Amino acid sequence: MRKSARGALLKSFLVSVRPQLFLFIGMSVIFGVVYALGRLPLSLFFYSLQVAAFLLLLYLIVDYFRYAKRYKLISNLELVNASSLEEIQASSDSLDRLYIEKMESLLGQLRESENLHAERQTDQLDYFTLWLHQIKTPISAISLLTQSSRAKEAKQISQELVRLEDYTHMALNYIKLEEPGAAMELSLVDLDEVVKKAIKKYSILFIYKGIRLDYQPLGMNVLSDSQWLQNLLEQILSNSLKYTPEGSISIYRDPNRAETLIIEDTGMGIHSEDLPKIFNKGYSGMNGRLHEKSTGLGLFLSKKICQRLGHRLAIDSKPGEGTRVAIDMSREELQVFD
Amino acid sequence: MFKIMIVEDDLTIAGILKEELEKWNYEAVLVDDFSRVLEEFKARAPQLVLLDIQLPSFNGYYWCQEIRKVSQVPIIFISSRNENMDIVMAIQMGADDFISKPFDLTVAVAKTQALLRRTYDFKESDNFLSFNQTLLKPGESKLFTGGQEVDLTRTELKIMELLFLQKGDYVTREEIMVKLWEDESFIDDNTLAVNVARLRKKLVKAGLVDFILTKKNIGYALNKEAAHA
Repeated sequence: MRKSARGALLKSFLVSVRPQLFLFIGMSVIFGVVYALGRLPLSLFFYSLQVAAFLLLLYLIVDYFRYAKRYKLISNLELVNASSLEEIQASSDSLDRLYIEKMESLLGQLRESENLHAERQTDQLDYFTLWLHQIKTPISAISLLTQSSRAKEAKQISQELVRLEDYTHMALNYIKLEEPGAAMELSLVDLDEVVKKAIKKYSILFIYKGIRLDYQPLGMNVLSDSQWLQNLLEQILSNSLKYTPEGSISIYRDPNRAETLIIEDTGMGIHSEDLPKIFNKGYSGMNGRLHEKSTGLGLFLSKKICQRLGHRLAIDSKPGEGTRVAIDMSREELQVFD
Repeated sequence: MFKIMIVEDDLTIAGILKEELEKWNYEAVLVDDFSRVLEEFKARAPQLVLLDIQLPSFNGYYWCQEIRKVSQVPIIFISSRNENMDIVMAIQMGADDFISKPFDLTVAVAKTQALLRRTYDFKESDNFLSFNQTLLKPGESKLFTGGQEVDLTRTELKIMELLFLQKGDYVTREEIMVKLWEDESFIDDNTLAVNVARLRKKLVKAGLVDFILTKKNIGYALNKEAAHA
């Protein structure tokens, strides 16, 4: 036991025996006064006081060890481990046992509500996943209708559909990231393949909004999870497209740093006072407030995906000029692939 | 003609798929009774099956297994379940390919064609689109007109395919670009215009004048009255 812990133990022990000490002092005073008033020899009083004080000391020492043992047991007590409760029970008085009984029943209630909560969460997750799959059928039906429709509105509808699909994906990602068991399956990923998939997903927005795409094959392989990396790129592209009314979006590898992908737009940019907070959940910043499209969830999710993947996400921006997103996918600790 | 069975309970999706496949000269049949998919399969004897996973009564995995017990016909799953696990499961059940919803019609057709080609070893030339007296054979990347052959680049072929499918109706520039992007050629408006200009030149050389019409701010269409010069 550390020194400070021992000090704390001694202090708490002394506090606990304070009534006994006061009682002893009080009784000694009474005896002293009675002896003095009865004109009895005080030496006799002092002698008995000594004997009593010695017994008190013995009692205190024994009690201290008992106290120390209990103290240690209780401070090591873990709620998940029911056997430590039993250990205390064996070496305790009836009051303690009552305590422990109460504690056990509270513990039972806690576990029950925890289970109930977990069950409910699984139910909700199951239902929500089902819902997401259900909603995709009407989305694809509408998408096919617009693909074969010659109506003027088909253009706008298909753009809105991309957004609609985006949001359902985002919800699914959000839930999956909250799951503690969401595993990343790292493997060597051809970045071009992932980038192309993400671009294709947003082709409608690029083309109908007239945003130029500046992209040449990157020829980069990175250690990542292709599905999650795609989610990440989609999220970033979606943001760029949202806040770029005209101009271009460039995708290229950072010439100065290895394994860093840059996605740069010529959009409205982010105000410098917003920059430090853009990764916060629910933070939408000036642009979001002006455009009412932002939920403040996109970049929060991007950051989270990056953390899970072990990539680093950096954003810098100038209002009115554009935003530059850098995803650093290098791994110092892993030099297996060369 | 190849017969393709579409097992999809969303009638809109099934209907559009059928229409699109028929444009490509395939015979498409829909399933009405989803508790008797296997019987329908045996009765219709299609050369390929498009199968949704979420179906009333039994799911697509079940039907896939049932069909596999009696036939080696190629099966493509079409599903909104696009997790890796679902795809692995589908393949293990005996599927040959997987399309995740929402999907692009051209992708669905391309996968169908590729699978038919691999399975039945039919010649690319069997697969064609026609307009007036002109034939387009995507498998050979060639256009045939008045006894002449025109070689097309990948982008040109894609453009022609879309125009042929519309049979003389206008296709917007954006629509063409979306399809081209789907094919991983991320071209912009200007590049599209350059491609169409080059394509026109090639056609004129083969004696086909004014085959592609342009309507400003709308797009392109095939000309029914295009004359052989």
